[in-house]
Amino acid sequence: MSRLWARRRAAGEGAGAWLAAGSVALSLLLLGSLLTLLAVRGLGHFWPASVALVELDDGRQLAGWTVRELPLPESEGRERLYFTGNRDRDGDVWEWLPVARIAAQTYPPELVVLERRRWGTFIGRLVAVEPGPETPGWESETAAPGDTAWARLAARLAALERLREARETLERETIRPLVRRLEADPEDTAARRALAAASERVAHLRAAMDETTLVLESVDGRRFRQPLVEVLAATRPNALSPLGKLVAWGRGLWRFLSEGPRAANSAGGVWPAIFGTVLMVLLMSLLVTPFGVLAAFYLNEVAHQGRLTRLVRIAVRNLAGVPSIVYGVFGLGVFVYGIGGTLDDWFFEDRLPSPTFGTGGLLWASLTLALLTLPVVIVATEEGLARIPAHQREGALALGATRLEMLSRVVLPMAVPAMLTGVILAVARAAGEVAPLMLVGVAKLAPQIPVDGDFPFLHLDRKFMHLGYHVYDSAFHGDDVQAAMPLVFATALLLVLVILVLNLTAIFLRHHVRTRHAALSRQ
Amino acid sequence: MNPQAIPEEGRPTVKATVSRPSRGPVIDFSPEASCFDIEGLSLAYGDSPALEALTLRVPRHCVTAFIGPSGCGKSTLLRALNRLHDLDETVSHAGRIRLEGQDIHAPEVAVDDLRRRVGMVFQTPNPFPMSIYDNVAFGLRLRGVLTRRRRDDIVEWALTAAALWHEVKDRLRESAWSLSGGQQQRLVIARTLAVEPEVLLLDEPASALDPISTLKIEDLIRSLKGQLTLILVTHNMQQAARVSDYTAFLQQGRLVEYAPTDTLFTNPRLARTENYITGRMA
Amino acid sequence: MIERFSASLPRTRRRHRRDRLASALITAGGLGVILAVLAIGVFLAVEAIPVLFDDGVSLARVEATLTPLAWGTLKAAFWALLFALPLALGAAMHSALFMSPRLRARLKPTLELMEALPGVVIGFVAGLVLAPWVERHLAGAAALLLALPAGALLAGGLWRWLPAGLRRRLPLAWAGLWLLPWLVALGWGAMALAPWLEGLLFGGDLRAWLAAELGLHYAARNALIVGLAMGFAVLPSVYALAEEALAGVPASLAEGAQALGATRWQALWRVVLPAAAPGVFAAVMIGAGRAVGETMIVLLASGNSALMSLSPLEGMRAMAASIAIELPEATPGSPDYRLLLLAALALFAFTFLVNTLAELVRTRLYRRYRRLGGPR
Repeated sequence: MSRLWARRRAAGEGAGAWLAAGSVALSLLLLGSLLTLLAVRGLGHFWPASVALVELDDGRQLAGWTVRELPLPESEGRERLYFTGNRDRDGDVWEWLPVARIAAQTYPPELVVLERRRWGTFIGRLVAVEPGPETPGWESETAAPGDTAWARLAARLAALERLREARETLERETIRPLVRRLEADPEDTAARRALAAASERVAHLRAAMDETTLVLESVDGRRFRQPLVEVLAATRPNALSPLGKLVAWGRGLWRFLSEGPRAANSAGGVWPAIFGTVLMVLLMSLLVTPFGVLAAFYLNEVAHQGRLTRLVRIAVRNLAGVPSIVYGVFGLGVFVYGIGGTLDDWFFEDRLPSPTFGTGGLLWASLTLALLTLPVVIVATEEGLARIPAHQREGALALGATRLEMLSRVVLPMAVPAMLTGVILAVARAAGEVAPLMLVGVAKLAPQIPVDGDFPFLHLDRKFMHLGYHVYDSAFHGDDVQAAMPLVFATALLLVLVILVLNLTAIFLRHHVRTRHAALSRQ
Repeated sequence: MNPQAIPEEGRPTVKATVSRPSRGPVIDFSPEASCFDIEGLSLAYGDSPALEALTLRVPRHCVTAFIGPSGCGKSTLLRALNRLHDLDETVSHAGRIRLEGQDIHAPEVAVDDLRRRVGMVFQTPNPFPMSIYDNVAFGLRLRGVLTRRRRDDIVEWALTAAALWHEVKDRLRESAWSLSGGQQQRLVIARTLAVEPEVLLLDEPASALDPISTLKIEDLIRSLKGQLTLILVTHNMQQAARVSDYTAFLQQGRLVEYAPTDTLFTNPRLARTENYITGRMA
Repeated sequence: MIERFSASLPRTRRRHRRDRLASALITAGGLGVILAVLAIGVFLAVEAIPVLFDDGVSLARVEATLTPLAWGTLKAAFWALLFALPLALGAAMHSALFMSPRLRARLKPTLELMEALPGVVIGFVAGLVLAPWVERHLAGAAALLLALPAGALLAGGLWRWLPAGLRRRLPLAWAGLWLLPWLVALGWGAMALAPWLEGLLFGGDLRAWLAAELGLHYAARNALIVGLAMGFAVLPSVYALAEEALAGVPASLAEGAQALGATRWQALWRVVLPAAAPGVFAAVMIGAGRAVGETMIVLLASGNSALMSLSPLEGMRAMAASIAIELPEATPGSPDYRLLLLAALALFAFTFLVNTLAELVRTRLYRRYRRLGGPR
């Protein structure tokens, strides 16, 4: 119908038609602005911004990068917000400056930006690198004595990374097995000796890592010493070429994806949240796929197609519209307090009153989300089953197939794409749901990821981190929301990208199924 | 309905008996010569009747055609013969259908076994979404473990019997959906032949096909009739005249006239039949 | 010729046994899953209803706890629908009846993607980006709100005066796309003009003027922000259902009206819309259900203060958000816990009823379309 109309000329349609067209444009505009905002703010954060050296009219100097500029609230003129770092020296990382008071703004290449484990970012100058007494374990330094402090810092950082890896390998491959051996048999003297030796080596490595210090100077001339161990990354943004900035941008992005959060979730990366989200969604799809498909097959192929089945079908469809928080309440009441509490009483009595399964955890979260997404899978699979032409089923039956043979050999293979669509949509929905997780197992900060080398390897009772909850928590509960904002944007962008990709896959698959079945019934 | 002896020619002599004025002329076969023996079959979808008190016998190893206007119940009757109506819970029936003397609704009859013995080909070609070979072997695999060699032999035999072997022998592993419509329909026939049915039901098998494919299917039907009983539902009068030995004309769920095809088409006994076959009735 | 083979009896029996077993398994599994899903309502009712008859918890307390929450929920949903409905229904009308089929085939999945955006992200942007921005640019935001719809109208008015060649290049069928840059430009213009207008009309400070003249106190996280964000979240589902209903109206109806001399818009308004009214109603119902149950957006953008004010410029606290915050801390079995469960039951019952109503209306509508010989 619309095609027929579109061909005719649209003259004098009146105001309504244009308002309707405007609402399409406005909806697209809203969506576009949201995605653009997320993309720009989320990705822009990793771009090494140039560090400005600002001189005020009273001679005070400070260094930092511009965050935004606004008109002054009371008087004429504008003011700028700078991020200046150095929380340990200044007590704050932000500085509002009236533009009128800025005397000069330069970008000297020697300004360094350090990311530190404690106190966050440092912005200033690097004066010297002071190695301690040579300890075995340091590789010989590549930088010649006459080289600049910056080159020596880079070399030291690389060496530090190697030491850190050595220590982690030692802890993972030697110490932890030994500890487990000792737990099993406290009398094992050989293990005890080996453990002591290994611990000594770790202490040694740690001492080697601790010994280098940096001498730093803030732009207003205050000098202080900074242990190198605390430094995670160092850049000189003003000295970087565009290509160098791109490399630094990629590296920042990678560290965001691969590292854990620091500084109360306001810095660092989101790797545990990615891991937690993926694991939870994986467990959920393992639960939801068989049950959803089973229910769809029952409704469409086995059940008596009467009034009751129709009502059940409507009810299942409607459950997709029930608010997710209600599922969370159900999960908390039935899974956590009901089943979990009972499990604790039966099997984990020794640990009570601290609950094992009687509190939110990975298993309950996956179960709750599986329940939440069941209608999605059931509806999609049922739609796929309904699209399979009746003559395919009759053809199988006419050859003497039993119902099971007809279902498993003809119907099921044809329904696979629809099932897949349903599961992908379910995964996309589950990845974005936060409200039910707040009740059944998500954590602000989970020190241990739910998979490790300890038996039973997958810890279903542990709490886990989730991208969506990470967004909520750091945006809502952080100490310094302003500082956490860039990372929240990046996390939100990541979440949205994951969900968009999943949905696009589902849309594509569904389109594929529809055209195939349309071709089939045209013949 | 007196039993009659089968004469030497193999075709039963025709004795038309006007049993009731409302039913019109109907030929009868002896139970020994008939494959299907339908007695007083009534069938309804929910509250609307589709067949009413239908009684006829279908002769063995012949082609019998059911003709009649749309909605006259000819497809319904065909589907009743291999109990495809079991799938639809709204269908109720009364009366008896015997296949080789046995009631097909008897509790000891396994419906899948019945459907294997009474194969069916549908209006739209319905190859399964698998390779050509797997389509033909589908029924064989259900039946039990055959050696690979023997299965290959049967697939080749069935495809040859369906006059498709030469067209597909080099592409047995390709998807059955890559075949043309006519080839697909012959593949479906081959698939049905492979489980060696005694009866083959054909529900307008050529209505979705082009004229050349239709001719091939008709040739195939003629070539098969020595080995099995064929029942053909068609709305194409010429087709019924070309391929069938006997023709039954149905109207509004009742059997109107049932006679040898040449008799029915050249010398129908009832004006209703004549009107229909000459096209004077929509 | 190959000799006949016959099925061995034991094998047939085994196949039948397996078939019966599988049917039983599917039935048991299917019924189990469906019962588990339906158990949600039963669980909530069993846990929450007793609180109403509990002597320890007076009805007054139930009322005092739940009334502000219900108020907040409805207020948020009201403003969300106020934003979403005109946009969604307008977009649905345009894409069902005016839009080029090619653009429509792209627009539908795009808005489907919009539906998939997680609430937490929308809530974050609304609460932490939009709310402070609107607080600073209140006049600008108000100007935008007026300028954008007016812009679409203005475009329609100007379009008729365009030379025919240009008019062919910018057909109404593609207006959803080419209006975009126009609206962006207008929005930018409105923002630029806003301070001047604010100075002219409101003495330079809209907030102060609102407080002085209308007695409205402005909170950064208020019902308007929530409405905008939740409207954004609700829009795609309302659009999808309404569009389906409108596009399903048999073409003959509208063509009949046009044959009598009606313009396309008149045909839409007088014939197509009334015919599709049940479907559009169902879409609105579904939208209301979603707006009532949405948690993360109200949590992040509403301020969560349990106020009962009518003012759109103040915040509120909604049921869903309240459950999310308070339930983990409530002791199971305590009156607080049960009251929150009662709130959850109310949410469940409301959405379930509304959705069922919508579904029934929709099913009947499509049966009617089929009778009229529509495309479905």
